[in-house]
Amino acid sequence: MYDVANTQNQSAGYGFSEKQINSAYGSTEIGYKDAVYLTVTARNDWFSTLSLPEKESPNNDLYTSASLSVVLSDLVELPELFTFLKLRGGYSQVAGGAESPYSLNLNYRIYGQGHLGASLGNIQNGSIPNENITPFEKNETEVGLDLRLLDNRFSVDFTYYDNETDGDIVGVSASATSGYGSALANLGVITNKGVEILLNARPYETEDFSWDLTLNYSKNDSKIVSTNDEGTNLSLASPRSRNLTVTHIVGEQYGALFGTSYERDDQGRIIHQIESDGTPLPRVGPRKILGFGTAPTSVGITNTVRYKNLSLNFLVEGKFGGQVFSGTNAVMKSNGVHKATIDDDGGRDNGFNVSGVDEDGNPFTTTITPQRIEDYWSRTYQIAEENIYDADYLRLRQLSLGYSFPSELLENTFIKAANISLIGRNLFYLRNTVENVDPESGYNISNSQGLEWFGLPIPRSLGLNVNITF
Amino acid sequence: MKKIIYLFVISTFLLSCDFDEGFGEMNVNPRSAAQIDVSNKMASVFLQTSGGRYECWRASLIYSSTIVQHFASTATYWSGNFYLRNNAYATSLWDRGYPAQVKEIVDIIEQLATDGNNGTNMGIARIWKSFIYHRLTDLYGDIPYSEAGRGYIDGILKPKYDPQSEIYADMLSELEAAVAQLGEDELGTSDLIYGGDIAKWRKFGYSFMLRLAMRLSKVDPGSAQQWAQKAINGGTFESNDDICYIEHTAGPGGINENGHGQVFNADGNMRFSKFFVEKLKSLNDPRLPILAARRSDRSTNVDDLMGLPSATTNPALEEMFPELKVDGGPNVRDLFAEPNRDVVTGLDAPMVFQTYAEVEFLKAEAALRGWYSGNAEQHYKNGVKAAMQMLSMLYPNAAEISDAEVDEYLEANPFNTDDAMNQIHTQYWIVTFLNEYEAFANWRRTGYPELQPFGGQEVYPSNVTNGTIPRRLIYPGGEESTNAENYAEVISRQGPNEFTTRVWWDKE
Repeated sequence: MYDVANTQNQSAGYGFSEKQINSAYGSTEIGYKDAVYLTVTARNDWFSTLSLPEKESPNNDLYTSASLSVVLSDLVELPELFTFLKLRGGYSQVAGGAESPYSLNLNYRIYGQGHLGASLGNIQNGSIPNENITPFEKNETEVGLDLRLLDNRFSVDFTYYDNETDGDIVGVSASATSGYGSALANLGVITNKGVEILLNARPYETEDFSWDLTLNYSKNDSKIVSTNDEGTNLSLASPRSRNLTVTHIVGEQYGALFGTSYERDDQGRIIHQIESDGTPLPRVGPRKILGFGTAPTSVGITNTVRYKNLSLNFLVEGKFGGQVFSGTNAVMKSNGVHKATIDDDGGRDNGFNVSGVDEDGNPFTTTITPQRIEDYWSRTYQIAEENIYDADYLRLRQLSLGYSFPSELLENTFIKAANISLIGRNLFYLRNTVENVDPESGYNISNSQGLEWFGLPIPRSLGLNVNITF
Repeated sequence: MKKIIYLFVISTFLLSCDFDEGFGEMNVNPRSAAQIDVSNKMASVFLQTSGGRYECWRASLIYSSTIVQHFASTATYWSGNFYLRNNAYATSLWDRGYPAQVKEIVDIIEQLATDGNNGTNMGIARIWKSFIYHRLTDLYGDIPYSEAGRGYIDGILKPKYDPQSEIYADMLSELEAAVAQLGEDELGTSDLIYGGDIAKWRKFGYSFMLRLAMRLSKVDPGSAQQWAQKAINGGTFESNDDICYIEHTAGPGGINENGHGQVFNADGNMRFSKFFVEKLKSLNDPRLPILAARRSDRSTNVDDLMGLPSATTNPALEEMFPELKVDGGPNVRDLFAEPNRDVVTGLDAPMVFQTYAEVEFLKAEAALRGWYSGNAEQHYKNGVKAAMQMLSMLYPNAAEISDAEVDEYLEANPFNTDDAMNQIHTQYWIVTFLNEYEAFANWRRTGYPELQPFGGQEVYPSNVTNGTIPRRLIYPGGEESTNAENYAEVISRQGPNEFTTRVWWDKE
């Protein structure tokens, strides 16, 4: 093969990949009295990532949508209070292709720079290619309303949706002994239903002063309806400690964190094996669902307060209800640099206190000698449950203070408008249930949310913005 | 009507469009190929079998080398030295072996079969497939074999575990068939093992057959004898020229380098075990100052070479040797012997798969058992001589051991029929230093040299073997979820996934 990577004496590499989607789209809208609208669309997408020269299964999909909206406030007389009221409902289909190109066929590569005059080649794919992948389809029903009151000083946008994804393209886990880590497949059915609410209000307004408030809230319920023909678990990704796998389990939410647990007695006390020198080590229990990596609830609050030429804006964002497996905390504990590895009285020289029950169910409280504390935490490193945290957070996403120069000041200049603002992003948490790490720094954001392993936290930034209009 | 005509024209136009023109070609990676020459794959799989730093560090050195007490370490992450459980370390040969070795050799054999190749390349590939698998099954027991590495070819995502008895039977008959296919060289420079010398491949096929045959001596002496005879009659290694090994270079990439060499570069925590050093000292073995050097000053003076007691942490070591702790002096642990960094630890050191000396020792054993008419003592002597003299051939900086020195050694340590198994396999254990998978397997089979758990040191708390020497390494936990049914079946057949569960041929 003629390729830069196959030359001698390399000092650089390069990457290349190419993909394309072609579409044909049509829509028609029928209106009645400028208040009732029916929109029908049809669209066909062709996906290069689902194409191969001799491929027989389709690389394209035709999908349609229909939506009806009624502006009630234009159709009937409503009380003064109502400025605008629209109801809407619709049904839509969306199709999608494979994320990355070249995943449908087996590829060979020549790698490295050879060895003693021989070129080295092997299979490039780590995932089993599948020539029969077709587009996945998501069907969604949605209803909603858009209500504005008191001359737009208050508005609500509400949406309820219910969708089902069929034949999603994912890597189905395979035993490493198959030679591959996963196999590409159009798999299973996933449903999502939920609400999204957007509230806008201007509770207070005078000539010099105004206060705007925006609230958004969303809640999503996901469910794995089916995984494959056998209904078995689909394993997605694992952290490097290999004691947990993000797993799709039929009947459960999307992305269960399925990993090793503490063995406990009926009262929930942790069962330990007691070593010959009296050191208790917790037993490694079976794998079970320890949480879900995708948070179902998210909120955002924006406040803007303006007084004369000054304006203050802050945005608070948060997510609730999800869990995370924190590899950072796991490694810190096993290396003895985590706060949890010393007792409150400080110091390691006096040992470390542990309570639980032994294998016969007898409760104990004992002090592990300093030499054995390491072994205790090496054991808990194997237990994924130890490092599962609720990933709830509420953070001050953005704070800005701005000043607009009064127009009188600029009257005789070439400047039409000018303002200056100080902006801080990600300044601090109002709430964070994960120790030591940023709950948003998970290392995989696609199919395997809920894993964290020394992720870079989202940086805090401070900036000065000067905006001048000529 | 006009509208309908327009609509018709537009639809006809749309339907005649080729919306995905060129898409099929676009989704074929221009930087890779649909197939490549088998010789490139063979060269790759030889190097992959030699292994990367990952499994050389973990399965080979941290576990196998310390279990057989070649090495010891004061660092507790050297889990094998303390009989501790570290899942990822213990499973590393499996984790890398299946995707990097099994997958490739299965693909090679598939390609050769498709091409109708029944000749030399097929023979070499089948020999190599057995070589890859024998390490895996020796280390783990029952493993996926007949269905493994076929995720793409047959769509098998969950290969079944074959019983080791069946795997051994198949590997042996594969070897017999493979050797028969060897003819003219087809690989040329891609034959990184023998450089196209097919006579040597034939001898390796039979030498390796002898290794597998003897492995069955405890569990099925009948088959062991039958296959050993077949191997010896076929013609095994005749001199150190026949040794099966691969050469490495110091770069340019990791794949070119010796995996053990990479570990020695990165990790200074291994020492020769007390047992190893004392054993070689008791034999007055000239190999000791070649293989070992004091870490603090690289002295190879035999009087300066001390072996580290196994399963001893740093504080315990300092307590044990209070006289060695000198203010401002080197760490106590650095006064013990490590692999000689002037001789054996190079990135360009060769990786040895099977030596001539091993074959002579196995023949000595076969003769001793009466399975073959050779002279046990002569084979033993040939083995010792070859083992000593191969060092300067494999490692350019190793001092040559002369014929006279060998003779002196054999005279001082004469062959003794009453203690022959011990003598033969103690020598086998010395010559398989840095072929740790083989050293571990042969010790389990023969029980020689007679190792004490923890090297005779105090039982290390939290060991997972109840204070006994491990008999295997463990399966990856991932199999429990990705291959659940087959995993459950193998556990019920072989026993719990513990270090103490014996593999089939390791019959008590």
